[in-house]
This record gives sequence, structure tokens and C-alpha cells, in this order.
Amino acid sequence: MMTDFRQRAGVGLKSLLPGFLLLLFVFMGAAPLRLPWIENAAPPLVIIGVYYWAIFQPDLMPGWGVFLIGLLQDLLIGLPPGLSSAVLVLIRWIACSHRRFVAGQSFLVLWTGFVIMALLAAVLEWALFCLLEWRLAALLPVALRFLMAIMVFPPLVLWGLHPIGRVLSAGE
Amino acid sequence: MVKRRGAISIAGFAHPARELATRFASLLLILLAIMLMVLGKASPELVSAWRIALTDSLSPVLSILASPGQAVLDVADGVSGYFSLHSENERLLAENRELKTWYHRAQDVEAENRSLREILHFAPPPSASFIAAKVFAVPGGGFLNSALLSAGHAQGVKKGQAVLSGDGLVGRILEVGESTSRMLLLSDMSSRIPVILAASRERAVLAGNSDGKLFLAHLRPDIEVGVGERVVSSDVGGAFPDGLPVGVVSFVGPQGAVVEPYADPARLDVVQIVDFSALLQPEGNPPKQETGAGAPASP
Repeated sequence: MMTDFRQRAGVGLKSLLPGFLLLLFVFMGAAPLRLPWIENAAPPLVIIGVYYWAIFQPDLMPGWGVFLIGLLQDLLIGLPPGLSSAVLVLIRWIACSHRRFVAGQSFLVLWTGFVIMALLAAVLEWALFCLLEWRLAALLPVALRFLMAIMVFPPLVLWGLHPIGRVLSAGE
Repeated sequence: MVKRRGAISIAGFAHPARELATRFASLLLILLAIMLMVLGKASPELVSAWRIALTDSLSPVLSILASPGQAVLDVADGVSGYFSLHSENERLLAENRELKTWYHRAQDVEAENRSLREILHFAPPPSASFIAAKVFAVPGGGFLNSALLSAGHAQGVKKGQAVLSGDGLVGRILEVGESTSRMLLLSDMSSRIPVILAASRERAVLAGNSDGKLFLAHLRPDIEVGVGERVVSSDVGGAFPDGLPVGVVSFVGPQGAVVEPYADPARLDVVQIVDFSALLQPEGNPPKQETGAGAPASP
């Protein structure tokens, strides 16, 4: 009885892990890096997280959860609310519907898929921001953030998200 | 490096019906997000209130997460500082010699100033007070140049107040919460600050642009700006006190003069918010003259 409860509690806690990680990514994205050159180009870890969980564990990261994470990010970093939500929900949707092509393939395929998604997210974010603020925003920080995202993806996935994903799938 | 297939078991693939449900839910959520964006555009005050309520409640988490960034910077500074000790020492010695000269000049000027004020019965304006705050979040979006500060209404912060780092003006307060506030950096595209060229006493507006550069706008066309000229804040419009150091003119081209700010926005850690309400009298009246003047003005 007790072990059954513990098991269930363990599974419950594990299922919260993707959401918790995304929260952490949002906060890390807002924290000041204070590094020269990349002060405005903190890697958009949230997009990596959303893409990854959409492919490997979509049930643990529902659309409304992604929506709320995006909203939190917008409010925290000062973007028009709803902007990140729209972009992240779209990324999750596309990644979910293409997961059968990507999951189970080599890491290179996974990465290539992410490069396309990150590019789409960057362009969409920029276009939506320009539209909402009715002014042409600088492209350089957007390009820098995109480059940071695709460079951070391999180490974050191979040493961070893959091991966590293994723990999560072991509990099933 | 390459992960082989089957390294991670994949949660079961969705049935067509479930996929349809996902698609419907996603579309609904994107629609909701678009509605939010429109709502945010329609009533910015509401969004501002949400934002400040959220950052107020999250400020403990944010201040904890801001610390590692500072630690990394400290280590980087320590390492690079070690290799440049000698040149740094030379530079400081030279600077010290120069500063000593300036110190004596300043003492002479101060003494002269005091005697002139005594003749005029001039009352020194009350000095501004400062509120110290920590910078604990900057946007990673790259679109906006703003930062979250760890002081709000409770500490006496008000909208529009000037924010200084140790080197000079960095921005102004945009939104104020109970214990946090948001600052708009000088380099933001929407930032406009009234300034004065220190040497010529010409007025201009310091504006940010999309590349994060600062340039002088609304300058009289017949005014020649020289590289190296100091730029300080102006009290035109009553938003800022006079004479806060801003930067120096670093480049003059056909597009106008570019100003290099004294403060490096990438390295903000602790800032000072200037409470200059004592300096600016209500209704914009100049400070009343009092007798018994002659005390040196506070810096």
C-alpha cells in the first residue's frame, strides 16, 4: 500500500519535471548574463525545452502549459503578452505532428529539426514584435539568439534533457 | 556524440483522433494568444499592472537566479584583471596625476564659487537623495532594453526617475511595483532624454536606436559637435535633474552625433535611483532664495 503510494507520488513528481525545467529556463533567460557582446542574446532555452518535450514526452507538457510558460516569459522580460505563447504553442504543435519523423532518428535529425524550428520561432517573434510595436526592431540580436539556441542545443540535450528523458521513460 | 535509435523510448504515438484534438487545442491557444496581444495593445495599463504584480511576487526567485551571473562576471573580471595588472597600474598612476591637478582646480573653483555666492545671497538647491537597487533581470528578447530593479513604491521609487550607475546615467523608471520596478535603458529605441552639451550648453535630445546606439537628435543644424564633448542631462521638461553625467560624443557623421555612454549597460549590478523631487519644486517654481546662504552645495 505504502510502496504503491510512493510509486504513484514518484511518477507524479516526475511528470512535473518537464514543466519545472521550462520554468527554470524562463527564469534563466531573464537573469542578467552581464557578458559583453551577448548581453541581449541569452540563449532561448525555453524553445529548446518545448521542442524536446513535444517530441519525446508531449503528454507531460500540454499545450496550455506551454501557453502559460510563454505568457510568464512575456510578462517577465517585457514582451507584448501572448507573443511567446503563440510562438511556443505553434512550435509545440509542429514538433508534435512531426515527432514520428524525428523521434528515434539520429541526433543529427533531431538537431536539424530544431534548427528549422528555432529559425521559424526567431522570424515569427521578430515579425510579431514589429507588427505589435509598429516599428522595425533590430535583427542582429534576433540572429545572435538564434545562433546561441542552435549552439546550446547539442550539449543541453545530450547531457541534460536526454538523461532526464531516460529517467522519465523508465518510470512508465 | 550521435544518439542511436531507441536510446529513449518514445511515449506512444497519438491516434488520428487525438492528433485532431491536439490540432484543435493548439489553434484555440494560438487564437487566445492573439487575443491577448490585441488586448495588450488596447490597454497597456492593464498589462503593466499584471507585469508588475508578477515581478513583485517573483522578486525573491529572480534575485537568487541573478546571483550566479554576477559570480561568473566576478571570476572573469578576476582572471582578466590578473593579466592586465601592470598596464592597469600604469594607467591608474597616470590618471591619479591628472586627477590631482583637477582636484586642486576644483578646490580653487569651489572657493571662488563660495565667495561669489556669498555676494549673491544664493541658496544652494536641496540635494537629491538616492535609492539603491539591484538589477536582477534583463530581457533576453533583444527587442527591448529594459531591466528589473529590486526597489519599488516601498522604497520611494516613482515613475520617470533617473537611474544612475557608478559611471553615469543608465535610464529611467518605466513601471513601479511594490518592491520592484522596471527601468528603460538609454539605448532603447523609445528612450528620449533631454541633454545638454557640456561645453557649448546647447540643448539636444538623446535618443536610442535599433542598434542600441545613442545619438543626438533635435540639435540646431548650425551647431558643430566635437568628438569628445561631454553630454549631461538637462532639466528641460522637469523629468531629470540638471547635470547628471551621460556620456561623451564618440563619432560625428552625416547621420548625426553618436554618444558613447559612461555606464556600460551590460555590467549593471547595483544602481542608484535619483529621487530629485526635492530639487524640482512643485509647479516648476525655482527654489526660493533664503538668507544665511553660503554653505557649499552638496555634490
